[in-house]
Amino acid sequence: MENDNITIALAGNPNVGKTTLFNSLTGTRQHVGNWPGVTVEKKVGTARHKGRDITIVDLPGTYSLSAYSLDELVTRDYIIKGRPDAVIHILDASNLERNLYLTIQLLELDVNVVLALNMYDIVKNRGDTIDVEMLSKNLGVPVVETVASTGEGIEELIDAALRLPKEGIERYRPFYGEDLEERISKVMDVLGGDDKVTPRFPRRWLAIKVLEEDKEVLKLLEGSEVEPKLKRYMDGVGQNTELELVNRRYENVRCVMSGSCKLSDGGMDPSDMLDKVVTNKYLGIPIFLAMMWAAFEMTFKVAEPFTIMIDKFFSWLMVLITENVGNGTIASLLGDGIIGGVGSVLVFVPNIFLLFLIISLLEDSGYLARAAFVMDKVMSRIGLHGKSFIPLLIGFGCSVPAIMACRSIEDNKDRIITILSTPFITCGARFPVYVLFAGAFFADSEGTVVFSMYLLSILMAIVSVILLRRFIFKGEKSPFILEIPPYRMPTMRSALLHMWDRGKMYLKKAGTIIFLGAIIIWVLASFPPGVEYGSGDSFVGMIGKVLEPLISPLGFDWKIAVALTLGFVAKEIVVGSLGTLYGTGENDDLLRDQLRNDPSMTPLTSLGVMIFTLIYVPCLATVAIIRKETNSWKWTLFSILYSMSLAWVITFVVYRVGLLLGY
Amino acid sequence: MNTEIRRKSIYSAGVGGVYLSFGLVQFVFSLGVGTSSLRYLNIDDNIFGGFIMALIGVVFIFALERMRRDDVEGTAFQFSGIFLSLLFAGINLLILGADLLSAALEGGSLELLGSISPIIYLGVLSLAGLMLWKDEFSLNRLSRAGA
Repeated sequence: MENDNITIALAGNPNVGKTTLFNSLTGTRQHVGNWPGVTVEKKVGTARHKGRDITIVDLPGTYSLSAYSLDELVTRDYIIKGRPDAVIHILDASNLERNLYLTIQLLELDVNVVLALNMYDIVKNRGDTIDVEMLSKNLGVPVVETVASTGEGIEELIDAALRLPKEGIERYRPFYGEDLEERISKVMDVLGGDDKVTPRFPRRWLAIKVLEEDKEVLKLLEGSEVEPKLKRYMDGVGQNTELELVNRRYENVRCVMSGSCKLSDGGMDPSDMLDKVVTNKYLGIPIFLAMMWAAFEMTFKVAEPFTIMIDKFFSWLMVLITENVGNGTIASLLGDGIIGGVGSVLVFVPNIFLLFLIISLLEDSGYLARAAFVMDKVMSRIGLHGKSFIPLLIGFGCSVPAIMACRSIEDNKDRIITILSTPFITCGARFPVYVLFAGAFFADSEGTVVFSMYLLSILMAIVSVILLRRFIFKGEKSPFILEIPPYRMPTMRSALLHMWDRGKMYLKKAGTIIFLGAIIIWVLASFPPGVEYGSGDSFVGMIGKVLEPLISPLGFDWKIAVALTLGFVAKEIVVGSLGTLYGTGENDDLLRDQLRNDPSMTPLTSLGVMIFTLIYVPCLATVAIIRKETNSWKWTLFSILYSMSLAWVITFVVYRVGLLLGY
Repeated sequence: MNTEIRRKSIYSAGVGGVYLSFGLVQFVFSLGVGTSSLRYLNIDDNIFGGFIMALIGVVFIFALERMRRDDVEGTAFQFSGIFLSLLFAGINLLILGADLLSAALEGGSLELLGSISPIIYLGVLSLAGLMLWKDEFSLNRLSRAGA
């Protein structure tokens, strides 16, 4: 392989370390998680190795090369159509049998394969042994031991990939038994009569896919000369061919492994011990609740000193501007508008970053995959499986990546239900609204009230799934298969990188959308000339009063109407616009006082504001990603109307019941 | 029951009993039924804190119950109980540090001894357990997460 443009694809089962290897090779910082399905589309980067430029392609994790889910299709299509110079197949060395199933399929595709036995440290720690040379000889491909997280073996791996193809070594050819081999030969003979589709693929692989009744392959062959012949032949073949092929592939795996692997019987390791408890049928859910509560308690308490420091900084800046800028209008624009609007959002940066740090630690450790497993029982009762729980969990950070994570859900109905329900999970941007109102009206139990909003958001997602399953997407849920990764020790570097990657979006918004929003709100609150800033006579007041009748049944006045309307763009704007409308600028303590003193605001209405904020559309970016992922305006509009209606109805019920109960 | 299992059983029974009792007392406090004579133990009225201590206690009790049946899973439950108690002690210690810093920034002060909650000081029991069985319970056997 001496050409200048070398492309190496990284393939493998989910959660075996492909993205860790990709980051290590390319110096990028793609998101890595300790659960299956983090990479949902291929990522491309470049690396330089011993003076040669290499294009590295990170493919979504797949267990097989069938066409059951979008990520499997992305991987298969790239390997077949992209024809990379080499495919590095990364295997979890501690779980070899399951991983080699994909190797067998890659070998069928006639691509240059190098095997990376990753996480080799786990194998050693367990006391297991793998005879790497024998495995390499059995398969006829190079095999290298690696630990991607520490960089061990990566040099040797790339060297091996660049040396491909190795001449003179016979690669392993899976044998499916006489009966199946005869069927494969027959289909290959039939395919020989086609000169359009067949020449683009390895004929044996194509024949196997035809026997598996692979939808994508059959679609390709539609209208070809051989289609009628194939149909006639397939009608005479039994229905269990796919299952037979799967079983035979596993037999091939066992044959390849024989003699090269020795497992120790060293008993339970710490990962197994923890799993006995955190996935226990009685303790699993209480432990999950305890972990979530601790996460939110930390988000509040540990962030507090940093919040105080930022608050003090903006107060100082505000005084500096007021004292030194002579022009009243400019001072108001800088102080009330920009610092007030942007500052009121930035004081929540410590909370948001800490929340993301905790989510990263939970994710990297492997606990979130257990949470999905534990919650599967609850999820299956409402008609979804545990796999849908992972996007819902990511939704606690941001709805956009959460909706993208739905790609790993094979069944289209389940995927759409999860996409439409994920926005109900409370994202980081809604958090400041809860903190503001909980702090103002429920100061003694602020953490508990905010935690309750998170519980309510889970409940809302569940209710949404039930409604959608019962009335729109009728039918049974698809079966749940989730690989539970081993626990890993999270590293602070990795967790901080993930925190920064997710949190910087928040900072970026503060510098762009929120900055712009703050100026627009200031203009609307300051004009027409001569009006009191943010009063009912200003433009913002006029807009609010037009909207007021729509939300007055919920107990909200025009100021809340304006804040919620602007919050459609981004939820962070809600707090900033309230700061402007109440004339408190960035000082959230003062804003809390003003809210408490506002006769139209009561603990009940503040609860209503939090609930409405929780349920209605998170932001424009979420709407855009729903459109992209569903590829449908119908579902996008449905999502907006659905969440707005639910927000209105539920807030109305809470408010009216509250009034009846005397609150 | 061999000597090692007997030692582990006694430890699980003792530590589990303490956590469960403290958790239940804190839970009762959170319902407004105060037993002021126990306040010197820094038991507050945080319902979730009580729930977590009781939960840790139950994990140790599960360990005891399995060890009595000579089930190898007993050790797994004991290890998990130790792990959870140290995890939550660590989290609460971090929160205590943040509270002290916040109080200093606001110009106030916080009484350190009065702020050390049971979930923190009971962690000493688990730390002792970890020291006793450190080879068996070493987390160093876990691989590191990738970046």
